[in-house]
Amino acid sequence: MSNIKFYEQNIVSSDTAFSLTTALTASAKYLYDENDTTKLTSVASSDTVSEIWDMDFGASYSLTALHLANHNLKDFSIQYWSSSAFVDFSTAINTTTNSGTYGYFEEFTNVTTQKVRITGNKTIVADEQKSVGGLRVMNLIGEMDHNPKKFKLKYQENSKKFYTDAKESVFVLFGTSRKINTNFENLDADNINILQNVKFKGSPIYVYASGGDDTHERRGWRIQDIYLMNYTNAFEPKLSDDALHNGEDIKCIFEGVKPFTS
Amino acid sequence: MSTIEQLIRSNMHRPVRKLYIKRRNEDGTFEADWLRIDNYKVNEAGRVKTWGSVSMSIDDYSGKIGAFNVSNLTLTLRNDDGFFNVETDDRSIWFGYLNRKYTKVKIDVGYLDVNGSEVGVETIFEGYVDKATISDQQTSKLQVLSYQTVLKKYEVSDLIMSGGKTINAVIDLIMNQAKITKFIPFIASDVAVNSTITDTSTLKGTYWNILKDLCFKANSVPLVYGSSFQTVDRTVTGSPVWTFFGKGSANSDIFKINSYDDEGADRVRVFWIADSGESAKSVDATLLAKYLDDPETINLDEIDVGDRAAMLNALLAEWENPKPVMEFTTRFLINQVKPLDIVAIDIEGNVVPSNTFVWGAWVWGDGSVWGKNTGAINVGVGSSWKVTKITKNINSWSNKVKLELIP
Repeated sequence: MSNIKFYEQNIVSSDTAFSLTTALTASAKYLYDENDTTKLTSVASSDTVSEIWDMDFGASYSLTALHLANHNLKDFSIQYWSSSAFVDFSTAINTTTNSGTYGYFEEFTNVTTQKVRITGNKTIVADEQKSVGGLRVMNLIGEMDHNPKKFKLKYQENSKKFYTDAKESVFVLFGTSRKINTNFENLDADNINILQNVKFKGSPIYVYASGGDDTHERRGWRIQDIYLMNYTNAFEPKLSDDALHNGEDIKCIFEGVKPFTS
Repeated sequence: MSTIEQLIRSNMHRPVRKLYIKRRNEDGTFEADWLRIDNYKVNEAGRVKTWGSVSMSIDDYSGKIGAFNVSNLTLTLRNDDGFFNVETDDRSIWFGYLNRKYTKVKIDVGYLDVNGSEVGVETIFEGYVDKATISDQQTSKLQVLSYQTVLKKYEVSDLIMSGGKTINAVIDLIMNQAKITKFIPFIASDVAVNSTITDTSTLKGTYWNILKDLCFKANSVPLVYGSSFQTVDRTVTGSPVWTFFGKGSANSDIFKINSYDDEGADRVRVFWIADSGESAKSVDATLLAKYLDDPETINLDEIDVGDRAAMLNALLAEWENPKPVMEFTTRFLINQVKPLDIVAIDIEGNVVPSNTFVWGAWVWGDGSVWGKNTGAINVGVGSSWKVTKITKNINSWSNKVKLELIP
């Protein structure tokens, strides 16, 4: 059972150099565009041929977790560069029987590396082109020791309403993004520090409510619900019930930095 | 996949808006490819806080016949990381390039269909940065001028023309220069009345003034659209490219009628006189009675004597009849409707009471009842209108269209 976690931004970015067996390099952006419906796809692969995707970040980064989104890989592995070879993480990501289209792998021992490799051998439906909608290579900021008392997910939108002479509605939807209102209660110093780090990180962060727990079905708490967000309200710890022996309450508002795509 | 017309006429719009720039290299040449910046970089939020609006118009000002204008555009961009700062700031997107001023700017727009695919994406504005202002509000304002302003920067005297030349030849000399074509690709001029300028050495003013003046006298309009420039006939022909539906229609386009001058008397001119004495006067007694014969004086000194009568007759034909003018707010039309296009309008209120007919009764007072259309503005679809101005509000995703009735 995991609690809500916060991660730094994706290490895979426009600065990453890609070496792909058959997939088009021009489509590599689909791995980090925060739109899991767009996919990087092999173009001439089958279950008899491995599709290898090497990613060179250009510098060494510390990483603790990977989130593989909207993919069709059944038999695959993910490794990191040890400075002399691609090797397994401490918890090896290496399966031949995967059936889920979202995969979350975490709590491997922190590694510092410049490269990551995905080797796709077989697809869930045999001999399809191998595809991945999103790859998040991340470094943990922290996991809360308990979940917020309140967690309200909203799809906020920028829209405009017009009406014709006959009062027919014409609706213009410019974009939608997510907003989460949370209320953490009775936090101890370590948990307050996590939220303080999230607030003053100076860059967007990932909010992962499920923390990688795949047992939830509620929207916002599912395995695939990992959102790149800004912490947009003031950091304002307040004593729980104004009692000195208690921890502190903190209200956090997180707003999505990328549009919601259904 | 839906067509762009289906998406415009649908009542649920999902706009596509893209902002591109093309910077100048340090040697003054433009970089080869457009750089999309509204979503720059991938892992960051949208850059554009306000998109502003652009308008394109001809003959827009009451009583000022032949005026033509392409508006400028002001964009407000998010600049909390200094992306739009001066080129000497190494965080700036212009770092390593010449400067911000004269950077080309382009806006492409379209619609998303139900599958999320882009449909009908086209350029609706192209211009260049005149000024970039950053502020402590973490924003940068880009003032973008349309390409027509490039033509205001040069005096026609720099062409050192002499002798007689046709209007087309003069316009081509202006437009087919490297300093102009790097912004506006050259298209040969083809004015309606290609008169001869007897002594081109007498032409004075900026390129833009000369173009406006010559086109006006040639019964044409200089039309800048995106990066294209052409001279087109002021007198348009053809069938409507779009029908706007208003009150009384099942699927209305018109959000609001902002104004309607149902006579259009302001711009009527029934009597034209050249400074040199030639004239053209309406022979329609009713028009002369209605609008008097207050003369409109025009200077045709630089036009060949033999061409002046034809020019005055063309102007009279264009302006002797009144043209009702209407402006309304409607859906975002991308480039489906442009200035000078012919369109139709269908605004008809309900007939009240309903027309009823008593069978077998053909005598006066038989009891049949014939209703009348309700509403102050009733315009049948049978009439044709010329688009004289479109204002495209990219921010609110609506258009204002101004039209005049084709008599």
